[in-house]
Amino acid sequence: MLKKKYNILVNIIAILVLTCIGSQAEPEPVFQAHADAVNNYIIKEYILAPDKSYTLKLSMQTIIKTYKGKKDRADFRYPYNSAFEQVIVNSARTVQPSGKILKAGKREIQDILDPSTSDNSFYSRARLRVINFPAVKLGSKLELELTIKNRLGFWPVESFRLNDPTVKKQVIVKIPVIHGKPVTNLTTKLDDPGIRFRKTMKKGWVVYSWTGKNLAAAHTEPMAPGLLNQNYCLIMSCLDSWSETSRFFRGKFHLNKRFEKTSIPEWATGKTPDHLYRAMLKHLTIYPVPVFETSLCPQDALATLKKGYGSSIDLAVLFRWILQKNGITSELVLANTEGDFIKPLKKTFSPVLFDQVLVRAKNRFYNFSDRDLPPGTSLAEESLGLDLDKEKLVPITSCATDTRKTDMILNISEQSSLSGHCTKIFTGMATVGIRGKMGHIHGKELDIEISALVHSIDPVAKLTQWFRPSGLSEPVQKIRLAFDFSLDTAFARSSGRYFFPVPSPGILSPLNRFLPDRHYPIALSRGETTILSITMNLAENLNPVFLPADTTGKSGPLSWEIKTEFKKGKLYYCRKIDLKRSIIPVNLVPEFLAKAAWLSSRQNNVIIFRHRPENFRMTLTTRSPHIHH
Amino acid sequence: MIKSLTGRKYLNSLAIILSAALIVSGTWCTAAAGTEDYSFLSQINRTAYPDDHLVLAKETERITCAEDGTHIDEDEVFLTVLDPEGKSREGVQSFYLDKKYSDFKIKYIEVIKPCGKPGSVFKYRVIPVDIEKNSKEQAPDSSSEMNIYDPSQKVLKVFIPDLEPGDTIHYLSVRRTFKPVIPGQFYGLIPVQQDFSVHAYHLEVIIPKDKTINHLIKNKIPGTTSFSASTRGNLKILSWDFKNIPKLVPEPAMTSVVNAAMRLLFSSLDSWEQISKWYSDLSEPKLEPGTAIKKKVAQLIGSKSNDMDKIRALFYFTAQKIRYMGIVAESNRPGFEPHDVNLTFSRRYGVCRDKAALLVAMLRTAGFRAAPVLLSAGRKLDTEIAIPYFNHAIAAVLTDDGSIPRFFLDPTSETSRQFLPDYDRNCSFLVAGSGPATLGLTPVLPPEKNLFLVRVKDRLSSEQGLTGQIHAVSSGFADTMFRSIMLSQTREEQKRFLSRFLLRKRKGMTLKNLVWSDPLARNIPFNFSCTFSIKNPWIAWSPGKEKAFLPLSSTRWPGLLERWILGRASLTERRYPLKTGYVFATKWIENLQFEDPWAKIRLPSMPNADNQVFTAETSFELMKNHLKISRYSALKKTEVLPDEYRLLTRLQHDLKYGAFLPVIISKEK
Repeated sequence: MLKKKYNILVNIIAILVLTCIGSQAEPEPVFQAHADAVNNYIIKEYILAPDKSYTLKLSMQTIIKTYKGKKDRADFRYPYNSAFEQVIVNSARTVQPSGKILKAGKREIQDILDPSTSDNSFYSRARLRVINFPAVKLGSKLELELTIKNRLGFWPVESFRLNDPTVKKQVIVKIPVIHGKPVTNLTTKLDDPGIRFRKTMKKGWVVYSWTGKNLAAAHTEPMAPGLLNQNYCLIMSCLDSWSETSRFFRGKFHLNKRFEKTSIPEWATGKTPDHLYRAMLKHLTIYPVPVFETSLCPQDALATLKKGYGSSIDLAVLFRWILQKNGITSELVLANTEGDFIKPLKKTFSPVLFDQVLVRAKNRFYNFSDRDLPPGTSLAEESLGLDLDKEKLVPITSCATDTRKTDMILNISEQSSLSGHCTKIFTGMATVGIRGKMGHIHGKELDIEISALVHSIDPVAKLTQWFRPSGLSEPVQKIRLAFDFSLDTAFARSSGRYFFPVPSPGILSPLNRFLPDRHYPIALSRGETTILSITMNLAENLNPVFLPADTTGKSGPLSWEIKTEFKKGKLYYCRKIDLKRSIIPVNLVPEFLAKAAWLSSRQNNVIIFRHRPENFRMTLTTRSPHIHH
Repeated sequence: MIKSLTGRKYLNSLAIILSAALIVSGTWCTAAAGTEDYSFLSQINRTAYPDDHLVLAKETERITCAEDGTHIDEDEVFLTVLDPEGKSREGVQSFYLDKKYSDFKIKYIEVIKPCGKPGSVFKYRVIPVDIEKNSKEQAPDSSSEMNIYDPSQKVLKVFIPDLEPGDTIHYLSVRRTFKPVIPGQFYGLIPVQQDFSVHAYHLEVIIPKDKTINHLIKNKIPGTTSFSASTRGNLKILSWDFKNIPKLVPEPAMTSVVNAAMRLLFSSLDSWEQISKWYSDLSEPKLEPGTAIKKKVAQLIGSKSNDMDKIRALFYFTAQKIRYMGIVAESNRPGFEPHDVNLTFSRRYGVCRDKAALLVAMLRTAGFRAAPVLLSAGRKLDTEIAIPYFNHAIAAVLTDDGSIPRFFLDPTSETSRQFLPDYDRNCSFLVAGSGPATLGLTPVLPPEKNLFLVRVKDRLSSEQGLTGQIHAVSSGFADTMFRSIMLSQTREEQKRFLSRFLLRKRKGMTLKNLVWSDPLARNIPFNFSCTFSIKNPWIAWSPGKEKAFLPLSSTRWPGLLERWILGRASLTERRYPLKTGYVFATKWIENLQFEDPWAKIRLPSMPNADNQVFTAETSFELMKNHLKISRYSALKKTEVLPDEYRLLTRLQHDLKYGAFLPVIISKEK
C-alpha cells in the first residue's frame, strides 16, 4: 500500500503554490520554461518551543500560468494530523491580473478526512485543510498564509524541488537558547549544493536557514527514488540518535504495559510465530493506516483482542503480547515499506523515515498491513529497520523470494489445435495479489476469476479442468494453481509458417513503458523472479524452424537465462528473469532498458514452425542470424 | 440493508438521490435487543448457502409517507456473515446521511452469536455494539475526490467489534426525511437482488389513502415475490414479501448491476414531465444573467455570424474557464439546484449543474433556445416509472420551437472539442422545461466519428532498417482523450507520453523530431508527428535468401483506445453484457518503399473480419518496390451481448497473433 508519510506530505504538497516575475515583455527564465504555475516565494519559518513542539508559519505566493496550473493549484490541500497538529488559515486570497483581490470566504475553506485513509477512518487522524481559491484566472496570484502548530516533535521534511518552478524557497528554523544552550540539537541532511545554508545566533535563538533560488520543478518519472532519497530533500530532526528515536516510539506505544494475569484465547496458543500470525489474521480484522497518519497511540493488546479489529500498530502490539504469552521473545521494528532506501539515511535520526511497525520473532519479520501477506513477508525486505528494543538499525531479512513460475505442457495436434496443462506457482510477496483475487471466494465468483486466468493464456482458450489449488486461502508462502485448457488454434499461420507467440515477461512490462533519457535513477524497491517453462509435444508433421536463442545475461539488477531444446518431437523452452532490489543510476538506464525491451520484443518471443514435407530431414539451429543480442 | 446496494454502490456516485423518512415516535419494531426469538437464523448456514459470504437473513422495512412527501423509514436488518470474506465486507456498516433533507438514527446494533453445538437446539448470545465508541462520521469519499465539499453529506461508519463467521449483525435504523427532494413526491428504487442471497425481505409502504404510488418489479424471479394492498382508516398499505432470492454475481465491466438485478420501483410521480418541470422550476430563477455575463457573451461571440461558432465560443468558455469545484451555497434544494449563474461566473467555479446553468444562461443571452438537461451517466433509467435518479446535469441547445435538443453540451468536459463526449452517450436524459418531456437516450455516434488516423511513410533497407515519418490525427472521442491526457501533464510529460505511446507500438524504435499540436487549440484536430527508425526490423527466418520483417503498422494495439476498451473483455465467456462504453475506429496507412530490389514479396494473410461488433481489415497493395498497407479497425457497439462476446475474444486473439506475422522478401523469384 503506497501510503504517504504524513510529515513529508505536509511539506511537499503544501509547497505547491507560486509566482512569475518580470513583465510579460521579459524573456522567461530558463528554470520557468513551460511552467504551468510558478512559486514566487515560499517562506517556512519553524519556531521551536523548549518542549520541542513547534509553530510553523507558512507564507507563499503562486502565479497561475496555464489551464493545468489552474486545475492543479486553485484548490490547495494541506495535509495534517489532527491528533497532534492544528492548521490555522490566516489569509488566503486571489489577486487577479487586474489587481482585483478576492479573499477565500468561509465556505471556501474546508477541513476533511484525508480520503486516502477513508476505508480505515476509525484509526486515521489524517486530514486535509482545503482552500478553494476564488475566481482564479490565468495570471492570477494565489497568496496563502498558514500557521501550523505541532505538539509531537520536530522532524519535518522539506523539498527544494517542487511540482512547479520556484523563484525563492526559504526554510528557517529557530531554536531557543536557554541558559546559554539551545534546547535541542538539530540533525539535518541535504545534499543539494545549490541551496545556501546559514546558521546564526540571534537574541536568544539559534537560527538555521536554507535558501534556494530559481529552483526548477521536480520531474515526474515512474519508479524514481522517493523524496527521502533525493539530494534536494532536507530532512531535519531534533533527535540525535537512534536510541532517542526508539525511545520516542516506545513512549508513544506504551510498550511497558503488562497483562500478566490475563489469559489468551485458545486460538492464540501455538508453537511457532508463523502459526500464531496466521491465527491472528484469521481472527482479527486489520484497518491499516501508516504510522504517522494515526494518533500514534495504539490500543492496548486486550482492547484489540476484545474488539477483534485494530490498526496495523494495534495488531503488532497484540502479536508481541501473544508471542510473549507463548514464551517466544520478539521485538518491534519500525520499517519503511514505501520503497525508500534507508541505508543512505542511517545517520538521519528521523522518525518519519518509517511507516509501518513489524514484529521480529525467530529472525522473521511480521507485517500487519494486509490480511493476505504470508508470514515473514515484511514488505521491507533487504532494507534497514529500527529495532525499538535494541535501539539501532537492523537489516530486515527475507524469508522467501518473490517468485512467479508458470509451467505449461502443450500438446499440439496435426490440425494445430492445442490441449494444455498449466501450473502456476507463486511464492513470497507474489502470493498476495492472487490470494486477494481468488483466495476468499468460491462458486460463480471463483469461476469468473478462473475465466480471467484462462483468458490471460489466450482470449479464446477454453477451460477443460480446474484442479484444487493449494495455499490460496491461507496466508502461506506458496500458492499452486493448475488447470487444463484447450485452444482451437495454437498458431498464427502465414507464408507457410506457423507462429507461436511466447508470453512476454510480465515482470518487465512496467519497464517497457520507461524512456531511456531519464532525469532520475530507476528505483526497484522489490526484487522478483519469474520463470516460464513450456514443453510442447508436437504433431509429427510439425517442425520448428526458429527458436529463441539460448542465452544468459545480466544488466545491472536484471539477469536472465533462456534455454531451448528440440528433441524427438518435444520442444522445451525455459526463461528465467530475475530483478533485484536496487537503484539503477541514470547513466546505466539506457542499457538496462534496452535489455528489458529486447527480452520483451516480439522477435525474441516467438517460435516458428513449418510442416515437415515427406522425407524431410531437418537440422535446426536455435540461434537466428538476424537477432543481435 | 436492502438499500445497502444502492447505498454503497449507487449513492456514492449519484448527485440526485432518494432521500427518505419521517419520525415515528412509536416503536414499530418492538424487539428489544436480545429478547427476540432468533431461531430463524438456524436456516442460514453454509449448507443452505454454500457459495455465499453473507446472507440477508431477514429485513423488515416500513416506510410511512405523508401527503407532502416527507416520510419515515424504519428498517430492521439481520445480516448473517458466513465466512471471513463476509466478515471483511460487512465488518464496517456504512450509512449515508444528508442532513439537509433527513435525520438518521441507529436505534441499536448488536451481534448475535450462535452458541451450543450443531444439531442441538439453537441458542444465541447477543452482544450490543457501543455505537459511539465504534463509529466515525466522515465526508463521502467520492465527494472530496471530486472536489465537492458539502458539510451536510456524511457517511456514518460503524465498525462491528468481535465479528466472526456465523455471527449475525442485527440493527434497527430510523431515517426521517423532513424535506422531500421534489415537494409532495415520494419514490424509490430497491435492488432486491444483491451480491448476496436474500432469505427474506418484507417491505411495507404506508401512504395516505388518496395518494397514488406507481410500482413495478423488474427482472422478476418467479416464485420469490408476493404483493398485497390494503387500507386502514385513512391509510393505504402496500406490502411486498421477497423470499429466497439468489445472489447476483457481477462480472467485470458489465452493464449496470442494478439493471441486471430484480428490482422494485415505486413513485408517486406520474410522468417524466413532472420531473422536467420540477428541475426547470428549480433552475430558472438562477438563470438570470447580470451585466458581467452579458458583457462576456458579447465579447465571446463578437462579430461571429455563424451559430456554431457562437455556440463553440460559449461552450469552450464555460468548459474551460469555470473550474470544477463544488461548495453548497443553496438552501432550497441544496445539492440539486444550481448556483445563481452570476455567482458561478464571478467565482469561476461550479459543479456540473452550475456550469450547465451558466452555459444555458449564456446561450440564451446569445439568442439561442437552451435548457438544462438531467442525465444518468452509467445506468440507463427504467422508463416505466418516473424516478429522478439522475446523477449529472448538462445543457442543450433546442430547436426553435423548443421541442427537441439540437445539440447536447457537457461543459464539465473541460478540454474537449466535442460538445458531448462519448461517455455521456447512450445515457438516459431529460430536458428541463415546462412543456412536454420524455425520457430519452443521448445518441451514439458511428465509430468513424471517433477516428484515430495514422499515416506512415517509410523505407526499408538492409543497411538502415526501417526509417520514416509518422503523422497521427485524432477526431471525436479519440481527440477528447488525447487532449484530456495531454492537458493533465506538463510540457515535458506530454512529450514523454506521446513517445511512450509510440514506442509501445514497437520496441526498439527510435523517435526524433516529435511535434504536436497545442491541445488547447480546438480549431484543429489534435495531431502529432515524428520521424522514426528501427535498426533491426527483421524477425527470425530460416537462413537463406529470404528475409522477414514486421512493418510498423503491424502492432497489436494500433490506436489509443484499443488496449483500454478491448481490455475490458477480460473473461473467456460471459453471462452479462459487456459494457465497452465507446465506439471508435483506427486507421493506419503505411506507404513503404523498398530501397533494395526484391524479386519476390510474400504478404501475410491477416485474419480480417467484419461483423456486428467490430471490423478488422488489413489490405496490401503491392507496386514496384512499394507496398501500401491499409489497416482499419472499428468497434461498433457500446454494449456487447453474451452471445456476441466470442467475436470480441476472437478479435483479441487475432490481434495478439496477427502482430507476429511478417512480410517476407526474397532476392530470388
